[in-house]
Amino acid sequence: MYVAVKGGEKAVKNSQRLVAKKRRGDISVQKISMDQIANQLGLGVDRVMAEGSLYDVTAAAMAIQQAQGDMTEAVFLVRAFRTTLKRFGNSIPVQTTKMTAIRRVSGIFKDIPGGQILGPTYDYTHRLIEPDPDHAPDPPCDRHTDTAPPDKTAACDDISPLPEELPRVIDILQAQGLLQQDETTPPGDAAEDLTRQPLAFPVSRNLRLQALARGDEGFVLGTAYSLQRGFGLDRHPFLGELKVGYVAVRYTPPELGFDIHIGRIKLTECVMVNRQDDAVRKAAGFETGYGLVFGQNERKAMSMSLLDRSLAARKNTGKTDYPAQDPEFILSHCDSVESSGFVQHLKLPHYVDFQSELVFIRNRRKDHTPDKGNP
Amino acid sequence: MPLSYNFAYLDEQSKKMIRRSILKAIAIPGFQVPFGGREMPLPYGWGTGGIQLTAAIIGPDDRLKVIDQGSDDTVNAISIKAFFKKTAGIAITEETKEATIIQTRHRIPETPLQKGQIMVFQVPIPEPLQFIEPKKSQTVKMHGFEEYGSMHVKLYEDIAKFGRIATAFDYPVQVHQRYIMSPSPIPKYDNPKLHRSPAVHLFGAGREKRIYAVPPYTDVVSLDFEDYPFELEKWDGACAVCGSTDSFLDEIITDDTGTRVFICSDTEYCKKNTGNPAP
Amino acid sequence: MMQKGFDSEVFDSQAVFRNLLLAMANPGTIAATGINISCPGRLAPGAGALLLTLLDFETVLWADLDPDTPETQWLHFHTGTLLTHAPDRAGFALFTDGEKLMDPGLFNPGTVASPDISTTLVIQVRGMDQGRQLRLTGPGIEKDTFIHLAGIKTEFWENRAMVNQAYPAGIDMIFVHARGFTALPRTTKVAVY
Repeated sequence: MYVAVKGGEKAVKNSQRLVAKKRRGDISVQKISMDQIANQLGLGVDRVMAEGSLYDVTAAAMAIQQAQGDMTEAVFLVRAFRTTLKRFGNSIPVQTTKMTAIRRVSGIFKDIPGGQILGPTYDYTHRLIEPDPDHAPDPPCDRHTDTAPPDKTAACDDISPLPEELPRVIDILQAQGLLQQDETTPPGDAAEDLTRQPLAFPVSRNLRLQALARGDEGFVLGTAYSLQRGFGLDRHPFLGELKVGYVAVRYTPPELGFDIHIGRIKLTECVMVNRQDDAVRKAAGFETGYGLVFGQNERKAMSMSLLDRSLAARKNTGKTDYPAQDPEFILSHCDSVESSGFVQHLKLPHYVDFQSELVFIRNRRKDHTPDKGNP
Repeated sequence: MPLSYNFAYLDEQSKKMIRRSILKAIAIPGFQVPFGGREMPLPYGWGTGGIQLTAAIIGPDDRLKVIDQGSDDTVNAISIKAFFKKTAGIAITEETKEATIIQTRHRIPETPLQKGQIMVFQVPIPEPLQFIEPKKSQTVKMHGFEEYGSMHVKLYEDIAKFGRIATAFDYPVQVHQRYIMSPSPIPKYDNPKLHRSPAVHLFGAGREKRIYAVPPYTDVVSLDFEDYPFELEKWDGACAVCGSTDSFLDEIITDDTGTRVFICSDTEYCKKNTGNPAP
Repeated sequence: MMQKGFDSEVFDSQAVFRNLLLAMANPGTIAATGINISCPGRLAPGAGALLLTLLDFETVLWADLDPDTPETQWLHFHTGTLLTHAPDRAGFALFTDGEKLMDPGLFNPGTVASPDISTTLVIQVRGMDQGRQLRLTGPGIEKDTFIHLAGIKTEFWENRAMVNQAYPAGIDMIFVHARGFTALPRTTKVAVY
């Protein structure tokens, strides 16, 4: 007789062996190195660092390789590594006005102090798959100077000739008194950390931004898009400023008492501007939404800034007619490690619960057999 | 750079935070304590809450039993045992009586638990009111002010519609005459085992970041109505392997015409009954 | 020089916590820390072991001691815990002298929505075999159980009952003597004989 109880351990081992084999692929094909991933799949590395909440190019590259390029799986690997790291303290907030930008655009003014900097972007490329990428000639990459960040992945970022400090575009609106900010975090307030404490609603802005910055790119993009289609926005938003570049990270070790430079990280920062003319509440003006992510990821930073605005709006109006206006809906569902795990846990055996359902359904059918009558 | 991990994977500071939450959970039976759930190397929904609890309480002298669906040998149980063998060198047992900690998904062993034993439940959805009110901001208030009317209405609607309460697993209980609690997705057959049990029952929900507990000798009452009392699943047959009629039975399809037999869900209990002790 | 803490942070704290978990789950049971540790000044080895197990840089401790005593310095050095003078802001409170216990109502009992943000009291008593007989009932106790805690006044039990009336809000307590301890969560009813 068939009894399905034993053999699980062997099956698990076999499955792990198979995944290792699959990961390597055909052994006549050369292995890819971490350097190759970090350099040639840089935007993937950026995404894994952003959603993994860990700025570590090597760890992200290793995770991408180990996950066979499955980005969500790579994010998961980085997160599980990150939780085990010891915390030394909080860095000093980075100054994005002092960002060494490789790219900076604004959609609201034709010319801006410091200028528009197109930088590396796919925006104006024609999306034609190159016919013979294996033999395409290498582009010149000779702008690597002493002022460039020490990591190799930054070697081709043309950052040396650019101004060291760029004023923020929205400061122009601010100076004219047209900007309304009703959710400022008092300076000096300790940053909260959602990896140490669970989210509790209502959520402060700094936690909201943290959740979105770690959030799954697809989810953040899709829900931001729903706003643009009228599910939560009643007018067109504008791109105040989008900036990609390097910022210095500084930290004050308690035993030293003064701050030291501990490295540079690449960030994408976005400020979105929305018109606000709810005259009942206050004078007409503009409100902003903010996005900041590790690495270069404009799609994510822009989506994040749209959601930041719409989630704040709820506080102002109390209205949550649409998902993208509802902080609990967005922030509880934007994390790919949480959602991917829970959706996929349905693959686990559930036969005990299903048995209970079977017993219920059979009993219910018995209730309805004609000779017993319907109670 | 070679990486190394702490005993039982979690760092000491994370264990402390979880331990403090466990104490509060025990002191307030059935209350869901929010905790700073860590990201574990296993996916959410696959027992990360239970694993964090076990990691925070386990020591080198423990004997750990892990079951999923009542079985010591399902893939998830094996994966979790391998995790603790690897990270903590823990002795594994299949004997319910021998185990000091029993981590479980979806069942409570048939063998009665003893004083000093700790059950660790993996919980996917800790909030019993979730499908009535999905917003945590609301359910927190409902628990706080004991606003449980909507839960009774839901159960009563079942009776109106189906002639009986339609919940077959994860059947809500009231703990210490106060909190309505999810017993995790155990079949309702297992609910009475929680009532005044001599063991400590800890529940961990990793994704939802909640820990709750039922201390020993605590009232755990399945919700019902006077005219529709709580009732247990019954089977027409007996276990095809050991002949048991007093354990939870799984149905196994034996051919492609739908012929089925029943077999104990608790594999260790079944082995005991057939006089074939666990290896 | 700072006196050392645990021999092994990992295994000592695990052993102590496990005993504490079972003590909290079985109120009135006299438990032992299960480890050897020596603590500075008036700090009993039981209380020292429990606090090293529970405190870290995310906790706030109130103590019936001055901030610069060897006891508080030792606790801060080994755990990084913050210290407070305000009893209602403390997550943990230490009484090295159980005869000078304050009204537990001065500490934080939490709220009905968040009863877990309450203060836990660690109270050193002069003995657990003298004093009035206390009959305990509630979750974790099969029927009833009896303990003695030397030097705790009847008034204290009345105040405790008052605070815990706001259940689920309330104050959990751990009474320590030498290396032994017993826990009384807020659910435990105490009758003084």
